[in-house]
Amino acid sequence: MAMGGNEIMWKYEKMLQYPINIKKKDLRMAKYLITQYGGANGELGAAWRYLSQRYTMPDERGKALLTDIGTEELSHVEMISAMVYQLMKGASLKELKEAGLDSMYAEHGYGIYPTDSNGIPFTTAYFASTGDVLADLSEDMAAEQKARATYENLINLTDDEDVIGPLLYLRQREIVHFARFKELYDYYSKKKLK
Amino acid sequence: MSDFNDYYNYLVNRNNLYDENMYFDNMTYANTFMHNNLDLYDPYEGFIRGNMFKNLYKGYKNYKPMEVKPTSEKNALMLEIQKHKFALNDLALYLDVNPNNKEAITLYNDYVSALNKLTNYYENLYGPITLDNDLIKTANFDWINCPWPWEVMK
Repeated sequence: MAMGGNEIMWKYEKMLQYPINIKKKDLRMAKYLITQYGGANGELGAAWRYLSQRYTMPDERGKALLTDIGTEELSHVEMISAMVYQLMKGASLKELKEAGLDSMYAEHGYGIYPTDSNGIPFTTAYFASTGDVLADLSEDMAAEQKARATYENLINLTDDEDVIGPLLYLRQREIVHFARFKELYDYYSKKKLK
Repeated sequence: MSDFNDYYNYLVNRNNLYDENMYFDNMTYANTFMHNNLDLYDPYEGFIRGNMFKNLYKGYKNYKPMEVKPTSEKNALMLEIQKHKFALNDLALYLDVNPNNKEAITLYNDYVSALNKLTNYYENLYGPITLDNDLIKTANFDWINCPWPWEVMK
């Protein structure tokens, strides 16, 4: 196989972007939080949205930004998964039933699976890739705002500082990503591309 | 590991690496985080906020940024790695869209050099963070041994 300049590769690092250390089991919170893994405004959708759209960015800035934010979103997938895992650790079947997680247990046992808070599985229909830079970047800006709003709802649903810390952090990342996408959108708008 | 104990005490007392260079004696940081058009937090303050850029930071309700308190030497060193990696990542996103900002590039390079030293130090003590690491001995595949990051840190 010829080796050109086209190899693509991700490197796993055995660490989280921000520490997750949740000491208190909270199955209701696990049920809410899973939506930021596999829900409409979740991190999995964010990662694949940007990593899919980057190929048709018109120049190096767009390709770089969508690659780098898309990659960061993968580390957020791991943070959310770690939170759900820790919130559910050691839960009995009785506790799962009381929290309304028994139907999830029927499908997945204690496995971590990307769904929204209602158990609807992840679908790529949550994001678009239009091949049009302004359409895609507009969606990306909206996606960051929707994720920020979701993180605020989630923060409102808990008083555990071990959960709030990472949620505040993730919420703030949405704000930074929005600002970068907007910078890029304005840059391309001015350039009058196409 | 008396070197490390000194270093750890230093971290606990100072919680930063910028005023003195006790351990990383050859490290030269940009002296200030104030730049003409870049007004940045230091890596720890940026890390706990999830945002290196003062002009972009927006808090939620009355929540204050949550302090991250290491509970062991290992955690303290990991925090150093995480905050430098975070600073690098946030600067990279800025540079993607503003690739000609020389101050940001200088700072980026300083953080890369700090991060590499910290990572080598950590991996020598606690095992590899990545697979392509010559610290992994084929006779004893350390990669599988250390705890995975989603477990609660002891």
